[in-house]
Amino acid sequence: MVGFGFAVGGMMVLALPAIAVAAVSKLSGVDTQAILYFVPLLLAGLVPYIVPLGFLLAVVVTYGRLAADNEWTAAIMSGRNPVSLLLPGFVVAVGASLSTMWLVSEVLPEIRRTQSEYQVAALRSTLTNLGPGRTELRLGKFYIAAGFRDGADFMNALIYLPGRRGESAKTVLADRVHFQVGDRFMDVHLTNPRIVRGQMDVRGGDPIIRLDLDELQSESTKSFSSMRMRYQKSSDLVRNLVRGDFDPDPARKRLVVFELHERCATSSTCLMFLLLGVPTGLLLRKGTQLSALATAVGYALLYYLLSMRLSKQLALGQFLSPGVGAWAIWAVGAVFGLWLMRRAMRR
Amino acid sequence: MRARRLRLAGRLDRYVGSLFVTSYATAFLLVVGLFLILDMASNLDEYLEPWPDGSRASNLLIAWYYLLDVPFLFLQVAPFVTLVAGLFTVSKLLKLNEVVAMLGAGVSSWRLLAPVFLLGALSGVLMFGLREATSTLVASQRDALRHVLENKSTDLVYSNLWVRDLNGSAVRLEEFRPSATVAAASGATQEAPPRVRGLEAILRSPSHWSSIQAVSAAFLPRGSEMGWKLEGGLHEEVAGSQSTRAVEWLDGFEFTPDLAVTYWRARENPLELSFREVRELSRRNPDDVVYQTLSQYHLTFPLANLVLLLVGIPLLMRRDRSRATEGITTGAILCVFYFAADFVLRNLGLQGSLDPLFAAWLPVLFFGSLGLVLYDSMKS
Repeated sequence: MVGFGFAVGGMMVLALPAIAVAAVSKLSGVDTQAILYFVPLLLAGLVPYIVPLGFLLAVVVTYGRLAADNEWTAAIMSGRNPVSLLLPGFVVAVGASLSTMWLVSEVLPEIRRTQSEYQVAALRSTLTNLGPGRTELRLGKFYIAAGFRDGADFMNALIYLPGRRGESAKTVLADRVHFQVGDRFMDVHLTNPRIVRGQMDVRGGDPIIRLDLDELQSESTKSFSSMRMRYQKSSDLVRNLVRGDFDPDPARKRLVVFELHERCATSSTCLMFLLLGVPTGLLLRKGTQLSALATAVGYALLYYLLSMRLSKQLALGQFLSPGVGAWAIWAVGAVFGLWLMRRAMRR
Repeated sequence: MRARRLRLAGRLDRYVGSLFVTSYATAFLLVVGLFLILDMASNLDEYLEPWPDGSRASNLLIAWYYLLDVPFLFLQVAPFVTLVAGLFTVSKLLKLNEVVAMLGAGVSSWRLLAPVFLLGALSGVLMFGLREATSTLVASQRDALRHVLENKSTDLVYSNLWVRDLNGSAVRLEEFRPSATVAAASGATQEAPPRVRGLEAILRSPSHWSSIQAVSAAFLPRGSEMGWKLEGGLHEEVAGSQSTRAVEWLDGFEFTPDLAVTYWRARENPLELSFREVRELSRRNPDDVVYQTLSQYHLTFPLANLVLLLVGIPLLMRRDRSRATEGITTGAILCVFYFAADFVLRNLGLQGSLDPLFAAWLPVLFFGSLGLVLYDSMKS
């Protein structure tokens, strides 16, 4: 358990740089606090992969240590059934699998939806929380570039206003640009504007242009469709399946059945990794722990690559039924693990 | 007993160095492998979705993308790879009682671990060089592939790009199609010269502003140099006479297709820009804190290789061999703190809430100082 916690915690630590870079990339220009709130949402999406991986590494290290210190040999020589030594690992695997199953089926779809909504809201906040040093801002096709900043205002600015409601796009130069941002609209106050392209009436002093933030953002943000599988809970999918909602669309029905089975297979990865990790630890005990860990990561990489790529092709290409396709790679991994286990036990 | 002076690069140094190199190679496979899994967990599902025309991304395209992405994944985590390698090296020396033997022979722990720290510093230098090399050789192709996979189309087009110049001039590229070489990497079939559809240049001179608009432009030879040949090009004065005349070439604003791609990369993922690219963008926009912060950050992040070793290894050396795991855990926790501080301060710098110099150098200076104190307090 300690090893499992250590491995999962270690991987969360290792994952943080990539997640932080991903968060900064998805929320470009957003303030630090918003990014920090977004990081746990991204991290949650990786839990179904980090937990089995952590379990695999913990199993390799634990059983490798048992073998290296000859404790495994001592236990066998005392008459214990070697399979009984796998029991603690099995109990942890079942617990991890059940937790992951709940997470993948019921919690993660909601988290993914929250992620997408948060992204939209956070990007909008770039306008209200704009740092004093930034001289460029864009939201959708709207763009402003300033020579320098004076507090919250943009000085010697070039502004591009996208076309909307039949009006053509405008490019404007202004000595000063001030933003007033509301919930839905943004007022752009221009001082001494000069039109570069497009039409704008500047005779009545310094104009104020009102922009619809929803319109601007819809141009750049990928809209998420709540009908996509990743945003739907397993309980909802099962209910709709039983009710016959997918019967008119056989292709979608196959996809739903595949998705349900795939979530179960992903959640059960710990059990398959137990079969792979124990013999790997036993067989590689003479090497360094690092090489055993690297081998374990190699297994995991190969498994996830094949399960993500091959399973879907086999199931949706109608080579196999959706259920069998989702479990195919898991089964291959389990069989390979059993073969390795037999080899390790014999040695 | 007089402390022994060891020959530089002697047997002991080569032994410790070889342990570190072996551990580094294994840690590289371990950490980069982990990152590949996590990256695939986040993105592969999206890449495998069917395209609008019913086709899918080929296995070769996805494999090639991930192969090109490996150097960039490594650059994100290189200091952690160095730390893991250092910790495992010292852990092995402790486990085999070799540290005790060497201390007993009169070799100080600082001298014993000198190869580890030197190689850690070298990995920082190599990291800097790798970033510069990958941005020149690989980045465009990798980004093109990612663009194709995310947008599910082999029509490689970067939309709505803005390129700026130091004097305030700017060019808007409604649709930019980069070179055929870059496009070919993504499996796209593309016309040979880089092309733009919808070009609008706002040009600033000391006395007035003017604009050039064109339906399209292509990057073609112009005499002994290259330039943007315009189709339907119109030059217009802003205010003043507002005279309009037809123009065949884009004059008054020099930019290359590579620069346009750099601006696109700065928009999509500024943290992956190279030092050279950041300096160029900073030259064109000196008041923007993003580029100021990034240019400092590209100097300090490679230093993290050495800083993390200075922090992590002394903590491990304090433990005896039976409690090495505690030392590794403490070192890892301190590294989490380093990373968290680095991330928060860097973002404050990118936002302009903190001076770029402070934002980039504070974590290195603070943790580096802590590391030096810990290093000095190692039992020898």
